[in-house]
Amino acid sequence: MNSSSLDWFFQGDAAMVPTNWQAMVLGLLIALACGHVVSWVYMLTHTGLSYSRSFVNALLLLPPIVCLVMMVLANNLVTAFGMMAVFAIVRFRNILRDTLDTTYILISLVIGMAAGTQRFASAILGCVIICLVMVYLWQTAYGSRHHYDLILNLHWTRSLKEMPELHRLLKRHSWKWLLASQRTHEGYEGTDLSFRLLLRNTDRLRDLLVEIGDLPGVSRVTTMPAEDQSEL
Amino acid sequence: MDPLPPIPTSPRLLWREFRMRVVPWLFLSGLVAAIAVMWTRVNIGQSIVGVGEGERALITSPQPGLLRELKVRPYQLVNQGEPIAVVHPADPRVPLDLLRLELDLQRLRLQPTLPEQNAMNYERVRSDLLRIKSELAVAKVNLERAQNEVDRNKPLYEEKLVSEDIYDLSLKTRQAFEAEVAEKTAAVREMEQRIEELRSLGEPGATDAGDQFQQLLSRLDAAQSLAASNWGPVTLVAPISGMVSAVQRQQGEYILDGEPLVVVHSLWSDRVIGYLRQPYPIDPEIGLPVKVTTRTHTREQFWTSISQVGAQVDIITNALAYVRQGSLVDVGLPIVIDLPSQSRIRPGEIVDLWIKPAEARPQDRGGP
Repeated sequence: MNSSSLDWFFQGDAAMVPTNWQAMVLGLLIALACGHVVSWVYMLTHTGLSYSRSFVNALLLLPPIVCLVMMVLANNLVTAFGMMAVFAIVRFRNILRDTLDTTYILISLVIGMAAGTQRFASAILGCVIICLVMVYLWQTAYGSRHHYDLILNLHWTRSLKEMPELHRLLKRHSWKWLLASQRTHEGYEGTDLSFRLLLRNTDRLRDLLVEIGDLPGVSRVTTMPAEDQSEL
Repeated sequence: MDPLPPIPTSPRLLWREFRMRVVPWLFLSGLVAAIAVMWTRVNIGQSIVGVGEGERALITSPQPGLLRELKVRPYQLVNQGEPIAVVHPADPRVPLDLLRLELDLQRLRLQPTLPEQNAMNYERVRSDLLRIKSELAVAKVNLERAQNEVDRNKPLYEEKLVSEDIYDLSLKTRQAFEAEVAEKTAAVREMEQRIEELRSLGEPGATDAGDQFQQLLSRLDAAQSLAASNWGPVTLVAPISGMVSAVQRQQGEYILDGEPLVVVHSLWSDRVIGYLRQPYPIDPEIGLPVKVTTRTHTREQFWTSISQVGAQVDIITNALAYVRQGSLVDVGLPIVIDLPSQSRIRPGEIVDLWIKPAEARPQDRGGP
């Protein structure tokens, strides 16, 4: 006769049928991996202007949360109706504009349901796993497709053929840069340029500005930080 | 135009890029690896539930009568051989049956036995043989006399001193005696041979049939005495050790023969019955390892094996039955799992079973 060393924890699921915690973890992992793949596919294939990083995070989070929902429901129709009712009440009084906010509401409901149906171990385990995933999403800035540190705007008065001199300077200070905007007008001398820069060293931004300012043909240099979470 | 030397990249930026670009790949790789490892280890599919079964003894009354005394109460522990109840037989047919048995025995004693009947028949055949032998001797004398008469009449007939009718009569008489002697000689031979074959049956003391008859009579006498003595109160004892789970009748009630009075269950199960519902999650075979997990507070686990697989899909009638909507009954293929002696599973207790597939190697997962 033997028993697992974590039995004291998993005995906290006071349900009719004992929780197969290994199957539970496996289910959560599979849901998480599939959600990960789905969110990546969404990131790769999304077109249009409505891209949202929080939506991508929700795509990743929803499968394990729904997995946890099904485990907690466990064919219990009463619990299912209860969850729908609570979710409807929350949604009725709050306008959830962000998909990720809805996801947080959902996981909060599930954890409450698990605790309320005396599946204490499931509640704790699900909470820990989902929270770890959320921290992972936050730490990795998951869902950011165009990650830049700086938006650099300047006026270029020289010929566009001489732009490589400017590029050489940008390359010196940045891992990656993107010419996001280039504007010329008839009767207007020079070109307005806007760059997105992923800097090699954000602490040396001043050096970049000085070197660009010293470059002949450059004027009206302005910068602003690039927002990670802005919808592009 | 020569490129400018890049400025040194700060470690903070490198770490940030690592987090944002590499960690997701590592995370997903770790997920896939964990899933691959757990896929073969997690008990998916082969898990079923079983119910413990132990010995169950139904104590019934051997004869109709009055339940004079009931010595146990529900949920009382009893040991094997411990008195359970006292029944006083009260069937009015019993004395009549005993009297009828006595008469039959006396009749058997007065009637000639089979060996005696055989001996009588044997003697009858022997006397018939003696009679035929004497008749044969007379026939031989008559034949000799008829032959002399033929010998005497033949020259007289040739000399025409006697008529032809007289001579023919003497010839016919001789032929008749010859035929009688021949037939009786043959009959005597056959009877002698048959008597020799039947000598073992006909002679007293040649077989032990008489002894057998006497033994039968003795046994019937003993049975009669026992039946007469059983007319007294009968004490019913517990056939197994365990707990009284039900008392069907109360003290002072009249009971019929074969009527259940008390049910005794063993304290612990000696086997577990599980049912595989179709489609079968695994092909059950005798000897497949099974991990039993109890549903006690401290979930105990131990390994055992399948000892029997049912021959047919049965209707589940115990606590495992789960009748789905639209179905009248729940059916499954029964499997029997013997429990080790140290297991402590009560009869009727639900346990979880995980059957290890035949292709899985037990040592891979710490099994037996």
